[in-house]
Amino acid sequence: MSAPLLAIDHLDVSYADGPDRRRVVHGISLDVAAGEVVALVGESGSGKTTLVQAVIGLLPEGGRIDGGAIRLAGTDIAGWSQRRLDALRGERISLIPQDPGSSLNPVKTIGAQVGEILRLHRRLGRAEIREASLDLLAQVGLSQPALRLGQYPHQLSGGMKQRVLIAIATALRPSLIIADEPTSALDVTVQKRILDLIDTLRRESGTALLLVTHDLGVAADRADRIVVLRDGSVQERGPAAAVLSAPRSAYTRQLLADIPSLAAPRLRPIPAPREGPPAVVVETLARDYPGAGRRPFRAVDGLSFTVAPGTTHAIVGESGSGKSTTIRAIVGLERPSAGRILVDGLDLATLRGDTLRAFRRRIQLVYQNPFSSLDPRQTIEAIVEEPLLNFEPVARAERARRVAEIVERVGLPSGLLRRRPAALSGGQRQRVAIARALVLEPKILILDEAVSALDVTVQAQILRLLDGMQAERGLTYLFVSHDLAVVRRIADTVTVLRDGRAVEQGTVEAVFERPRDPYTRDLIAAIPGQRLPAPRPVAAEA
Amino acid sequence: MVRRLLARIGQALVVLLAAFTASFLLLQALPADAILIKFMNPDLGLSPEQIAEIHAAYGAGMPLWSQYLHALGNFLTGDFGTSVQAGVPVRDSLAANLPATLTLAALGFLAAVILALAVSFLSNLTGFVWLRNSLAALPSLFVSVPVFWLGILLIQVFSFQLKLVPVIDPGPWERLILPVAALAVPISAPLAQILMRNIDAVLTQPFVAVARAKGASRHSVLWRHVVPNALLPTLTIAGVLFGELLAGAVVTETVFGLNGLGTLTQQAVANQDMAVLQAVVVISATAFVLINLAVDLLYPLLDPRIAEADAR
Repeated sequence: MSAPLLAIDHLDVSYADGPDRRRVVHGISLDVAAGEVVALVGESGSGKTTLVQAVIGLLPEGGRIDGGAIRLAGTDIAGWSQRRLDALRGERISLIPQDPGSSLNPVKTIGAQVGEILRLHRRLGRAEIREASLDLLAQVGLSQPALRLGQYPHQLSGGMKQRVLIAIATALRPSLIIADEPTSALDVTVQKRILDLIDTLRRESGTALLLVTHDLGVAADRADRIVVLRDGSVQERGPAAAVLSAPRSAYTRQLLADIPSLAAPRLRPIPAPREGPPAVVVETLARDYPGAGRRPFRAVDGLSFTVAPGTTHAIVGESGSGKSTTIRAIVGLERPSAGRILVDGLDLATLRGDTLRAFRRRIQLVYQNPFSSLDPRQTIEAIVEEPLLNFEPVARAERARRVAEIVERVGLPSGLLRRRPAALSGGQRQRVAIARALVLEPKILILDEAVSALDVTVQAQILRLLDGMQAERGLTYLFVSHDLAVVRRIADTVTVLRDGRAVEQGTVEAVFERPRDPYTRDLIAAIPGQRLPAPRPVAAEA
Repeated sequence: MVRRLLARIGQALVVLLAAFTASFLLLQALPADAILIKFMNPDLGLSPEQIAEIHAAYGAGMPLWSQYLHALGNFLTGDFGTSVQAGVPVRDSLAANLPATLTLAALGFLAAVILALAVSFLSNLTGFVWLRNSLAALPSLFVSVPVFWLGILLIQVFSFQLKLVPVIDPGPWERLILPVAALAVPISAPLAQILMRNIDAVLTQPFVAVARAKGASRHSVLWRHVVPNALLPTLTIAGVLFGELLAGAVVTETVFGLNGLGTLTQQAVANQDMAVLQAVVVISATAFVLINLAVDLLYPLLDPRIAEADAR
């Protein structure tokens, strides 16, 4: 048998950590055959990105290969100089990066950036490069390729940028493409189209794909073989079907159990609606922004919904659907152009000054990104305490007591109180954000993509925490998300937003099991992991 | 775009008027009297009545607002008044001194930019950690060196000890070498600091990894991708640093005995020659405003995102 296309052999990679070195990849071996799709699955910190950076020779500063071999078609390239690797990169190995938003140079045209890879590896004239770039852009399904060549990245949507990056990666028909979370920054319907595109181009040229993902669903749908990584070592490997249907390691089983899946049941039975008026009423809400021409841009158009107290209402939609505008209006950060919002029976438009301030403590926000929503210079205690300082004076001892209580309640060790956010993991930070929102004892919590940036196991933990807090305190949640599977797990009712309008509303069961609108059906069909086996209960969850 | 341009120019004019007004009021508020300094000299033997007449001839007795409008009107028509000390129109002494300072400032700025670029590129391209670290430490050293001390040191070393640059009767360009160096070093320091920090920040951007993954070499990525992005914030700082350049010129010209705006300013301060000071302030403010206007107008050409925001 001939050598595999890529053979990683007992690879060790470490980073400089002060005077010492911290090893993040421990003796990993893995093969990729020509034309094969291998998914590297793991959570943040598993070493999956470091591993592929080592393969393409682009470890960040301080990173070093300590041992082992990386053989490309039988030749060990682990010790190659950057100069030798330059000839290899783009030509035989290429990269599709994670975040299309920051992966194109903002001050160069699309044409210059696509043309660059041709210029570097081929002796072509200006006209030939232009011709080839046009072909490439047409191949990845971009409309008006000639126009795109002269445009800058900020003039393209995220999906279009990822298409440009795919055009670059496939330009020279390399034998191996490394795709590092190629779709995790994209909307779910765009995600599916991009993965389909990579699949098609790859099949045509017989290119192998090393797909790095945290999403077992994506791996299940796309990969021939799956390698599960944890803490820099291989936990499990095998054909995709075998790993998913009969996982051997406990870690893989846990990962599988934590994937939010459409087939998974709701975390707990739907609570009986409490007595009293609705917690939130939105009536024909509209919000205009000054547009490009004379006509204003209508971000939200005639949106209405009602949320019963103690329940969870989800607002689902892709970027630009008006989700953010809606929640900003509900917390009173933006004035609606038309329509009415009642929160806890109060009409927001009538609130001024002190009543508006008093209103703010009833409704709190938890943001998407736990890495940027906490002030890095404050201690955890100061972060959680801050909302208490904004309202009527609370004695210092009482403040400390309340902070300690809520921090313990959200499941954080009290030893973390004096630490700063940098010392915490993503999941711990999101717990801090939840504690900060709950310390004022609000009645309504708005969760803006609050679990989207988290690993699946952490995501599952946070969802369980939210669910527990709701049952305990009778909270009403407004859960904004693009992730239908997560919504399925936690929400009672749902509004599907598209272009500022509600295309479908109802209970989660009704909308998910009998979607009437074609857009809702598209959204549901686009969720990765439809090939995953039905979830089974896991001991840890019981 | 045109509307934004006009608005930006309008802003610049408002800044100039404010600079003129503020300097006028501040100079008036000083208790000093240039006419007294010059004419109270007992050798001249002028009686108090005669001095009062001179006062009136210079218009010093008029109410403040009328002096202000008068001076403003004159400035707008290009008449900067008469130097009390030298007895010649301020315009003439400016015309005699400005070109020398402009040459010094332009060369100093150019040298500073080249120095800053050299330090930041070398520190990023060198493979030797010790060289990288020592180059990266240079700007902090440069920024803490006072101009006058550096000037004297340069003369000591290069003129007196190494005898590379003549101090007695140097040629027109030789004369400029050391002052330009003395001026450039402290200006280059903040530029290099900003540039190095920006280069480091841009290097961590994903698009740099994508460019490397295409097979572009380190050098090529630095030139084609990193520098165009890292220069953008540096440009703003460069505009602001221009003000420092003017302040630096005063010291440099004094240390090296050059004639220019710097020496003119220094003498005017010593003699409390208000007309000259007022003109110097307005000239400096104009230069400052023009440079920053140029930077603002240059920005959209370098960053398409800003061009787009402007077009809206």
